Amino acid sequence: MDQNSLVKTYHGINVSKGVALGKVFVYSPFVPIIDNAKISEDKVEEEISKFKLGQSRAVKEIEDIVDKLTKAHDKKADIFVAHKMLILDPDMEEEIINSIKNKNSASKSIDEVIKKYKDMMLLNECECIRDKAYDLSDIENRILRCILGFEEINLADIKEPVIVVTHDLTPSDTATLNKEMIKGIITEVGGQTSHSAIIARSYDIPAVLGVTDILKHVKNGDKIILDALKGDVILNYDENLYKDFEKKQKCYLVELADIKKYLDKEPITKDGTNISVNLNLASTKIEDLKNAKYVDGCGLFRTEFIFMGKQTLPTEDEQFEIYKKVLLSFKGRVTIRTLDIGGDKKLDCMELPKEDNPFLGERALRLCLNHLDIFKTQLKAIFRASIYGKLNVMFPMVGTMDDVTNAYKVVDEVKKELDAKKIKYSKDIKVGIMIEIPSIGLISDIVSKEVDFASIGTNDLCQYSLAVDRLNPNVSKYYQMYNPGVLRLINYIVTSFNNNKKIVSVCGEMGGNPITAAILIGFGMRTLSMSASNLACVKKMIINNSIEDLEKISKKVLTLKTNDEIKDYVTKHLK
Amino acid sequence: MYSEKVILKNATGLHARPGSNFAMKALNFKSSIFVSRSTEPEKKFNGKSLMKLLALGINQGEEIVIEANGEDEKEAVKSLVEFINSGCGEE
Repeated sequence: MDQNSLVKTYHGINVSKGVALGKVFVYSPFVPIIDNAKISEDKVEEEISKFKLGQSRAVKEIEDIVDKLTKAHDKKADIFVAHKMLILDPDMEEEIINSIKNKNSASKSIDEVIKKYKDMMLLNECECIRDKAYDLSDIENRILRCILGFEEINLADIKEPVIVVTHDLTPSDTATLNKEMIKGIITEVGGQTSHSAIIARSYDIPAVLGVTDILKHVKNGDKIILDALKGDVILNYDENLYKDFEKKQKCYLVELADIKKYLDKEPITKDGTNISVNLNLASTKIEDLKNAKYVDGCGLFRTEFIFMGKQTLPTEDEQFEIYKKVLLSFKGRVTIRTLDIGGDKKLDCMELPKEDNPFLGERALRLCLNHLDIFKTQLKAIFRASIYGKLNVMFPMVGTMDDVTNAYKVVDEVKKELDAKKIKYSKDIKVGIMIEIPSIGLISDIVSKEVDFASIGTNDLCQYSLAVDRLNPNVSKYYQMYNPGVLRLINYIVTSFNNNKKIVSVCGEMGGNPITAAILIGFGMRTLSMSASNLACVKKMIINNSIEDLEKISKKVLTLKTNDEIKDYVTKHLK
Repeated sequence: MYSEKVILKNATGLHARPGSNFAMKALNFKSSIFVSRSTEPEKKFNGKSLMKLLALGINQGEEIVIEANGEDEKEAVKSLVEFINSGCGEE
């Protein structure tokens, strides 16, 4: 008991599932210091030679990395060949030397010149150039560190199994990390979509991010438990707790291996009903599109990323290329959701007024209907791309029949404009809505006659039905995914759309969670869309259960009183 | 001075990898080498600078002018045009 009281648990966001037990490796990379003071004339030569020293040491380091990667046949070698070219870039070198001659320190000159190029690249229309801009920060840090003669602490040379604890990881950290020896990752900042998260998931390394100030509590060699199933970091544990987690880890690994087998299986229930399983996407990166082979189509293509982090609005042509790419990647239907921005999601390229209740404000379709130029440009790009696949267009934040009528009117106008210019588009475009506002869900019997399809956005539907801000941690217990009221509403939506023979699907968290997905299938839903990481476990649920069983479960669910009762009941009865 | 026009046909334009291949090739010549968009011929960028090529950010389908000045100018331009026509060293 006494020992137990010493156990310390810190919480973060579990971005890559798993359990890790082991020793801490504190990774604190170099933080550059920029000397902003002007230098005197007699220091100019000295500062220039400092820069040249940093440059040549940096090049040497990179040559070693390239050597290592090339020997390992790792394609990332190319990235570093480009880094070397950038460090030796003749124009950059000249500008830095000129800046030093103007009495700026070497560090300030390097910082300013590289930042200037970085800013130029961030303005580029093409994502691949904008991505390169972040590599410039790496290059700057490398040169500045080399000037001071500090060794590179890198994650490539780790020789024993460790759990890495760090403030944050950069692209070059992750390009070189030794994935055999890194058993877990803990960072102080970051979330589901940060670079560290993406890397951790792609290498299957358990990771908990956003553990505030964790570096103050651990040192090299400390033994810790990383529970990335829950999002906990545990220190000062005793033998018993360690054994518990060892068991938990073993169970998870067995379960994981079992689930993975289902990834490429056909999602057919035990009694022979085919469920359409689709992918949610928010990029056209190769590593995301590669999952297309496991699914029927794309049930939600988010378009916000095309508009974010830019100084100007994306052009029609630029958008067209992206929509074309995603449509070409799937054999089945691709559901492109029009811009879902406003309120809490801001854009650099558009000034939006501050709102007191952003979730109840000028969001998504409401914003698009008020900015027809943006809306029409997007629709034109989407329609032009439609000839490359099977297109569904979907509007977010539909609250009333008026919204439906107004959005469809714009669709007709856009079609007329394209016809007038003799621009081709597919004749098989389906136009549908997201159901995330209760008021539209409650008239599903009417609205299902007017639209081609609907997809339930369960995250917002829960938030709006339960009057809970899903981003506010103080009310997180009020945000209930198994809430009986919300489930009754969803049952009504599914039944109404099925009665009118219109496809109804789900693209929120409920679609990717086997328990809620089971309830939805029981209600009569036959189309689900989810993120790639949930495909295998949902397919497993589908394959191991029959429609008959799921219908029985769902019928019972509609009679239960609370969130927890429903969760427990379904968990117990699901195979 | 010698120059030629060429259209970028490879999938990704003169971006990260093709850009570095191009600059690497350009560095082999003694002449100074400049790249500009046909539509903005006055904005010339150093063809030996990957930084500048990335900042210029030429996309697929755009026409560019490659210009060289120096003892091997003709050979340089011909060889770089050939390089672009063959897909910038991309697989």
